[in-house]
Amino acid sequence: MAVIYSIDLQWIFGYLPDDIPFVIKVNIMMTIIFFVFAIFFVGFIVLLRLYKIFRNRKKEEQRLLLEDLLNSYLFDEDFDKERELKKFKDEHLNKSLEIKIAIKEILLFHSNIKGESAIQLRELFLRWKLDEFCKKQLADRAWYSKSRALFSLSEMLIKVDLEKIKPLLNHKQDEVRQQAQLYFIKLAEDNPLEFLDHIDKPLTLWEEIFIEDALKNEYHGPMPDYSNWLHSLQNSVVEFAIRMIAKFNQFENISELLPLLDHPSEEVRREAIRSLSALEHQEIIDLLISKFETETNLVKKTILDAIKHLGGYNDLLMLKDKMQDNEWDLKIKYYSIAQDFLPEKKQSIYTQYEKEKALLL
Amino acid sequence: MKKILVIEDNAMVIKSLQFKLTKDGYNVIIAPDGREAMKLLQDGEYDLILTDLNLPFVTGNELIAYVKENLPTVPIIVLSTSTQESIIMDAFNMGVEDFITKPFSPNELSLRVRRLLS
Repeated sequence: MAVIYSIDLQWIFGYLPDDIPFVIKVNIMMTIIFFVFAIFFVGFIVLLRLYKIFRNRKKEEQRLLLEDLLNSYLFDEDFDKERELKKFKDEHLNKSLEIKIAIKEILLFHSNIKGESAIQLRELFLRWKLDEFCKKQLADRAWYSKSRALFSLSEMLIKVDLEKIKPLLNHKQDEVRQQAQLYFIKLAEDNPLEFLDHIDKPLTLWEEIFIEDALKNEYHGPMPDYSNWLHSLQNSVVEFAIRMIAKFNQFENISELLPLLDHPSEEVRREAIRSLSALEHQEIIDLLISKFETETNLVKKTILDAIKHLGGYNDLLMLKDKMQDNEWDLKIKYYSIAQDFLPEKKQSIYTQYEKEKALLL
Repeated sequence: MKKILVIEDNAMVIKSLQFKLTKDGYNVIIAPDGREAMKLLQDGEYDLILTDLNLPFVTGNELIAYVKENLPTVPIIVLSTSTQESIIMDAFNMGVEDFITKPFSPNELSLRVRRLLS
């Protein structure tokens, strides 16, 4: 190795005068190397920038062409659809970038326009076989291509073999999972939440909000029976189903919610209490009082909230001796609810609390 | 030729409205924001105003108030993404003649414009 180094150094330093000290030689060589590297680096950045400018210009040109074409297609009765659309496809829809811009532009029009014009846009999407492009993109390696393809297909209500969509419900990227869920919701005829049976990952709070919003705004069929997911293996799905039962006033599912008060998951039990309370199911008060002592601290707090909502002062009194001496957070909540029940005795309840505190501390 | 002032900040919607209304035989003037619209209203006369509510610089409501005070005979159609009942009610209470929510049907819009201008 030493021989090789000495040969290499000899070759490099051979161009420099012999009387220059070794350190200076190394310094000069390093300066040259870094200078060349800097030139290449700056050149690379300039090239990237030029490429981006060129690409953006191309995009803008394509966008303007499409805008004119779409306006003529939608609003000009004299527009020769057959000829002009074919001509545009042959001349301007050959490269992947051009097709992507066309999809984006059609979707933009579609989001602002409804009625007959929106139907015409969908027809154009199919005529130009943009759906085929999107279907291919579902198998693309880039997550953003999958996500965009799913969005385009669901916006245009284009049916795809669900077996191709199902794996995307468990994709590692949130955006892909979310778009796959939206696809199921938008294209469902009667079971928009079918996808909940196929998910392996817990639903995030954000996903739950997204699903709820999509159900309200994008799905127009009958509301699903959420009790179908009360026995899911995913606790997050069970919690979501419980919440939705209360949200959509599915009183017929109260009997399905009651066994969940004994569910092994603390969060599921809390959710069940909250929903039964929201559904104004008075009958659970006695059940909750009987369970109070053996429950966890968080569930006890939820029970106190339920008593506040459904019960009265006498129900609250039943819990007084069931709190441990060290459960101060519960006691504060208890006395606060007691004050809400009996606002006229606010001061005496506070005094009672102070007395208890003095005794225990 | 009847003159319509379109006040809208979405470039795509502007172009579509301009195309459609011009095809229908109207002279369409565009204002991309509320400030520009105020200038145009002070300088010219219009037969109808088509406005969004969420506009830069001067809001749609301020604009409606100005038109109803200074040009009470000019009909206004609001074209907005808002579907909130209170916002629609407020617009009608301020005196707008019509309210269209986005996404909109261009044919329906065309009919409503024709009805107000006939």
